[in-house]
Amino acid sequence: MAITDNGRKRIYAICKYAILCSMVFIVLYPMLGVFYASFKTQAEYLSTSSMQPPEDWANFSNFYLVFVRGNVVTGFLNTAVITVAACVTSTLLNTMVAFCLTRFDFKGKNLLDRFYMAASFVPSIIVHLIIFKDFAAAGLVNNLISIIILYTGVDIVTLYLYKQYFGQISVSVDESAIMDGCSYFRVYWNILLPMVRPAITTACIIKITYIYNDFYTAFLYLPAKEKGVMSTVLYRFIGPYSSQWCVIAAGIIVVTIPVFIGFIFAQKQIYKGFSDGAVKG
Amino acid sequence: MAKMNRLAAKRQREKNKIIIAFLIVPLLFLLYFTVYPVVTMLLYSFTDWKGSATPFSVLGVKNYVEIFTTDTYRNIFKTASYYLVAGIVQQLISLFLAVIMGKALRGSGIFKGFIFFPFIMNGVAVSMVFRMFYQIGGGLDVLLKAIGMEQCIRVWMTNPVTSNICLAFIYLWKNVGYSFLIYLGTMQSVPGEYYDAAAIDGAGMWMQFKEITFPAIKMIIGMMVTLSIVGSISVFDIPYVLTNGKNSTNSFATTLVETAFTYSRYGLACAMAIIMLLLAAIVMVFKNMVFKEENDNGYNR
Repeated sequence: MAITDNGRKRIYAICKYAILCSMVFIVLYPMLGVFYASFKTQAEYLSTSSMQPPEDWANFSNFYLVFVRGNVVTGFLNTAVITVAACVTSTLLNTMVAFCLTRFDFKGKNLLDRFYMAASFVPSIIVHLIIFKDFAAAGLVNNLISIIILYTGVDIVTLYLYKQYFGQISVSVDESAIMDGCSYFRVYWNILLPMVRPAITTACIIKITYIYNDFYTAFLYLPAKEKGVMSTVLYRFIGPYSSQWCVIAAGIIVVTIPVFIGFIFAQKQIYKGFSDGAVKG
Repeated sequence: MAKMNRLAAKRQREKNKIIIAFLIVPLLFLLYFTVYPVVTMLLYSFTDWKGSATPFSVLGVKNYVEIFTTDTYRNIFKTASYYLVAGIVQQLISLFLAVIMGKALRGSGIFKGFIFFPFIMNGVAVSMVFRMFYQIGGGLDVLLKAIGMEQCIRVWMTNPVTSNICLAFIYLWKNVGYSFLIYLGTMQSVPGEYYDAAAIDGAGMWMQFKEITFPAIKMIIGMMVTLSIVGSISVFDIPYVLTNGKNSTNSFATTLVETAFTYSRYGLACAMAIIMLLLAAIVMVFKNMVFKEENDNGYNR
C-alpha cells in the first residue's frame, strides 16, 4: 500500500514538473527566436531558420543601430523622468486623500469614497477623446508635463491600499503628536508617511510597471520623435526598419533588459506589489 | 472651560483647513479627468461633432444605431469575444497552475518567475515578439514543422479568424502570470492544516479543491473575471502593433482611436466610448451583485 502511494506521489510530481516545464517553454520559445535574431545579420536572418542560433554571437551591429539611430537613450531618460515625477505626485495625492478619509469626519466623505469607486468604472482609454483636445489647446502635447499630469490621478486600487495602511495606525499616534504641538500637516508628513513606507513601495512598483508598459497615452500625447518613451521608441522601429527584423529584435531586447534586471532584483516586492494591489483593492 | 472651547475651535479650524488643502487638488483631478469627459462624451455622442470648433448638428441616437448596424463597428464585439475567451482560458490555466504549485514544490520560485515575467514586459515589445513569431517561417511555423504538423502552417495574419486567435493568444500569454500570482498568493494564505485534516478524512485532490481552495478564492475569481472582461474591450497595443486593426482585428480601443483621431468623427467615437463605459459598468454591477452576500465567507474577505 505504502509503495503504491509513493509511486502515485512520484507520478504526480513528474506530471507537475512536466506541466510547469511546458509553461516555461511556451513563455521562452517565442522570445528565443527574437534573442537569436538580434545577433544575426539581415542576410543570415533571411537564409536561416528563425530558431537557429546565430553564427556570430559577437555581432552587436543591430544593438549599435538601436542605440545610435533608435533614440533609445532619449526614450529611457524620458521614461525615467516621467516615472520618477509621476511616482512622487501620485504618492502625494493618493496619501493625502487616504489621510483625510481615514483621519477626519467631514461632510461628503462617503460621497467622495463612492465617487472614486464609480470613477474606477471609467476605462481610462476613453477619457482622452475629450482631454486630448484641451491639452492640445493648452500646448501641452509633446510636453512631458502632460503625461506626468495624466499619470498623477488618484486611482481606487492605490487609494484602498493606502487607506488600509493608514487605518492600521492607531489614531492615538496622531493625538499624542497633536498634544505635543504638531500640526496636522506635520502628523501627515513626519509621522504617518514614514509609517506607510511599505505601501508606498507597493504603489510605486505598480505605477512604474504601468508607466513603463503603457503605450497608448505616450503614443497620443508625445508624438514627437525626441519625446519618445520606451514603448513609443520601440513602436517607431516598425517604420524605418520595417523589414529589418534583426534590428527590431535588438530593440525588443534592449527595451526588455531593464525590466528583466528590475525583476531579478525586486522580485519579492513586485510579487507583493501586485498581489497587495489586487487583493486589498 | 472657555479656554478648552477655544482650543477645540482652533483645532477644528485647523482640521478644516487641512481637509480643504489636501482634497482640493485630488478633487479637481477627479472632476476634470472623470466627470467632465464622461458628461461631455455623453452629450457629444448624440451629435456629429468633428472635434473642432466647426458647428455640428444634433443627430439623436443615429451614432448608436450606426455602431450596431455597420459591419466595421459591429466587428469590435466579435473581436472582443476572442479576447473574452482568452480571458476565461487564462483564469482556468492560472487556477490550474496555482493549484499545482499550491503546496510547497521544489523550484517553484523559478517557475513562478518565468510564468509571471511576461506580465511586466512592455506591451509593445510583447506584440513585436509575436509579430516575428507569427511571420512566415517564424517561430510558430518552425515549431509546427518540428512536431510534424506541417500541413497546419498557413499565413497566420491575413485571415480574420486565425489572426484574431493569434492576437488573443498573445493577450493570454502576457496576462496568465498575473492571475496565476494572485490565485497562488490567495491559496497560500489558506492554513495548511485544513488540507491535512481533509486528507485524513479521506478527501481527494478534487474534493480538497472544491471544499477548501475554491471557497477561499471565490471572491478573487470574481474579481479576476471582471478584470479580464473589462480588459477584453480595452485591449489596444496588441492589435495596433500587430495588424493595425486590419483583417477584422480592430478592437474597441483601436477603432475608437481611428474613428476620432484619423477620421475626426468624434461624435461617433463618443458614442462608442459611452457603450464601452456602459458595458464596463454592467459587468462591475453584475459582479457586485453576484459576490455581494458572500462577502464574509472565505479566508480572504
